[in-house]
Amino acid sequence: MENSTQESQPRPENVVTYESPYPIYAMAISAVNRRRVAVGSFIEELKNRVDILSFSEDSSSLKPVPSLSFDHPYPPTKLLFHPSVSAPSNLLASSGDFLRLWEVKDSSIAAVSTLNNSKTSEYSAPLTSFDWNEVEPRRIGTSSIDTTCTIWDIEKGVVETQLIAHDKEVYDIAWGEAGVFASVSADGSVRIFDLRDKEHSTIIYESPMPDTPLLRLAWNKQDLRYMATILMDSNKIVILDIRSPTMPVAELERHSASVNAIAWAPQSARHICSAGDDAQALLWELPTVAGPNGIDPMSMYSAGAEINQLQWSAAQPDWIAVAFANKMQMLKV
Amino acid sequence: MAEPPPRNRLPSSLQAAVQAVQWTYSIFWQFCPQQGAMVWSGGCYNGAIKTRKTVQAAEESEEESMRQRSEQLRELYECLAGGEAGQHERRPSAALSPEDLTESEWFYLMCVSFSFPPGIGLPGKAYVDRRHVWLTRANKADGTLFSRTILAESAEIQTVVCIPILDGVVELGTTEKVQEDIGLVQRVKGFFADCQNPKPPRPAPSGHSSSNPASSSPGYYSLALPPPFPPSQMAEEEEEEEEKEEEEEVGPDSDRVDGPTPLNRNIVEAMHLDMSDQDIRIGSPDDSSNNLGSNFHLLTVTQRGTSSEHGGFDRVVTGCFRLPHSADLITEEDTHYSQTVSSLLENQSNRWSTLSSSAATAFSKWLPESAVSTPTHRRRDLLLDGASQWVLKYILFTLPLLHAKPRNASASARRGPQDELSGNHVLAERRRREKLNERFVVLRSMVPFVTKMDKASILTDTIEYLKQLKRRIQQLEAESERSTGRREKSELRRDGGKRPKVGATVEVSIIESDALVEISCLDKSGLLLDLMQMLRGLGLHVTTAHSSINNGTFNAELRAKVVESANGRRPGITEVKTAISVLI
Repeated sequence: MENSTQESQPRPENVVTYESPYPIYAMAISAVNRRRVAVGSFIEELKNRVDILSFSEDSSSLKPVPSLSFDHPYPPTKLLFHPSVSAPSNLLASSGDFLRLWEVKDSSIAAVSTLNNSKTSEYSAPLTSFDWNEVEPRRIGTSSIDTTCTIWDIEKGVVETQLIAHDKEVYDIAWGEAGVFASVSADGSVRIFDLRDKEHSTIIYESPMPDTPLLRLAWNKQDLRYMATILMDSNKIVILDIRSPTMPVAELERHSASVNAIAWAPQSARHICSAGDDAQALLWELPTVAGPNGIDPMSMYSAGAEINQLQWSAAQPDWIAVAFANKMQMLKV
Repeated sequence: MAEPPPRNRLPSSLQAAVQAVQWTYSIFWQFCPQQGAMVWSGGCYNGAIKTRKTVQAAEESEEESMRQRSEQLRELYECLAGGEAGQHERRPSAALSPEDLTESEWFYLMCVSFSFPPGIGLPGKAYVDRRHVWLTRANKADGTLFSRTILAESAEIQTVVCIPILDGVVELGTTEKVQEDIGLVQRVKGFFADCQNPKPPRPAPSGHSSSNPASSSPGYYSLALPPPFPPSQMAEEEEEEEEKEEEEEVGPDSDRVDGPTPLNRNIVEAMHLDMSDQDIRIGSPDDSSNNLGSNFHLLTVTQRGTSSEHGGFDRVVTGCFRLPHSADLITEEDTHYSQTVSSLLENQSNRWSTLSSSAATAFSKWLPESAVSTPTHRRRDLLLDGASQWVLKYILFTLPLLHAKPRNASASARRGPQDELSGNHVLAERRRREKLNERFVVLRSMVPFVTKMDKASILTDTIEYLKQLKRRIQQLEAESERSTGRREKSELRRDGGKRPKVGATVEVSIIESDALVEISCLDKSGLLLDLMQMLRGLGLHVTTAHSSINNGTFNAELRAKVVESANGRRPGITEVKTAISVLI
């Protein structure tokens, strides 16, 4: 287990590692069964896999469950479990060429559906990301490179609506309320959409250098006024307040390399975690008033390699999941 | 913080008491129901002063100056606790700054931050036991007993006495070593008894009845008190009554208490996090009861801070974080403050770094030095040729194209398909397309007046042209029966239809990678050579060339393969056209 180079090494029970035979990108933690962690492989080939791991806090172990595993064409771009603890079944959604739903049972995984919106058998735009609406769990919003966002009703298996969200490829999507979502795109803008008024969207931020793509978006579920986004090749995390568009409330600039992933704390309105190419995961606490030198992180974790993905799930609010190289770690907060 | 309504008697009592016994300071600790602890509620400093730093009228009495000093110390404390943001605005130039204080003044100032749950610390004990507590050698005392030992040590406060008075505790301290003296306690009590209500040191029940609006009660007793309780001789009942009074006071008092309370909370957080942590661990780290008490208070305090949007919290946050960090983050004015604090902390090992790792967390405290990337990581970046976010970019940019590749004709995926079968299909598909494109170009070349170069327009124009030709044929066949002369002319005209002789014409058609150039213009020497060279420069490699010169008219039909030119750009139709026009 690779640890930080600092004087205070985290104790073994605070860091639980899973070493995978292949690199990992997508991760998800189940709400129905908090011990189930899904990891998606990142192999630059057609054949990829999604494995389910069993996480045990008491024994500090992350072990794959051999019977719970399935193939996926090319790496899944995102994995998410059904957000509700009282979901009827342990549903896992994956995005890639299509949005697929899987049911994770005790000793097997059954494919539930493949949600394909293309009318013809020809071309269907692959998905860059998706988000599962926590308030309205039958809704999943997907973002695609064909500049559209599609809202699915997964219970009926049909498209609720499809919006042309941006001028260029849409890279991420995040739900705010039951009918409100935001998306970021290669055109450098963050836009908020309300399903009750599909004609209009609100631009709440545009990247300062025109057309700098915004790669990821996170909406603070504890305080819906705040969002965070990251830019391409940038070490900054931009914190936005939806009530004051275009002007970010804060820019967190303490990573020494580009940021790859961000996640708001599921249990606190003021905390956010970020991870980047500098192999560090930083925990930030956002003050009401920032100091003159900018905001410093509260604490940090150094991994052994560039951290590519970060997940902070409401199912396990005390643990942050990070993925770097072949490893996936659960870090105690 | 709003100044509480004048508590007429208390400050003067404190002042009188401390002056009378010639001690260094007096503090009134009041029980605050909201916090469940004794909090600083008034004080008078009577000790050594380093600098006055105020303009003083000569005739100012000693009492006056003492009160002023106490006030200044209090203000200074509030400024410091308020944090960076408030400092620059609030402190007038003539105000005190930390370096102006003596150690005992500092002790007095720091006392403001403390709060004692009942039973904890000297004031807490005194409050609960309803007996005075006398501590000599306070600077050497056990941390469990006297939590401010370290402070007292630096301030050379040797004796501390806590006397329960009214609903709180009066604390007096001095730099001298004074043995326990009941008489002194009585005297002090007397000062307060005189002022508050006519009750002897041991409060008689009737004394309580005087705490009604009519009497000269101090302002901090509320006006809305219920009628006095039936007198009782039992001390316990007195206690109860006192507590009840306190509870009833909560309402109107809350305004007053709220004033200091939020501030205290901030201060508690700020100070306690660095000071009381030390306090907790001073004498006996394993004394759980004391630790628990202080810990619990800390926890509740910090929890309150995180859950609410308390304005003071953030200042505390920045304040807290300044302290352990390098000096450049601390403003000039804070230097003495932090120095004092850190000198106080020197007695204990620095607990900051172990705080976060002793708690169960994988994250360690962030230090500014960590912002600099280590050589290992920089090397890694270089290895990737500075490809930042490459996994994320692969997911977002490359991956979607991989999914689309088999279906999309002109996808420019960098990685070839792994499946050989699909590769063959792709190649076959490509060949078929190329053949089609070639045929389209040929068709285009046979049809005049093709305006647009896309396949659909070519087909439309071809259809149009065929219709024209058919009509023409019909006409001609009809005419040929009439005369031969006209046939010749119409042939000529037909020829002319193909290639209009007016001026120069340039037609360029590029479909996929097949290009067709038709030129008709006045002949120039070496025109064909120039044309072909120019086309090559643009990236059109000529495969077939038909050219002829008729009566000084140069006609050429060139077919070419389009490849990327030197700068990697594929030539466009307009580009080629303009280039040709220049030549001819």
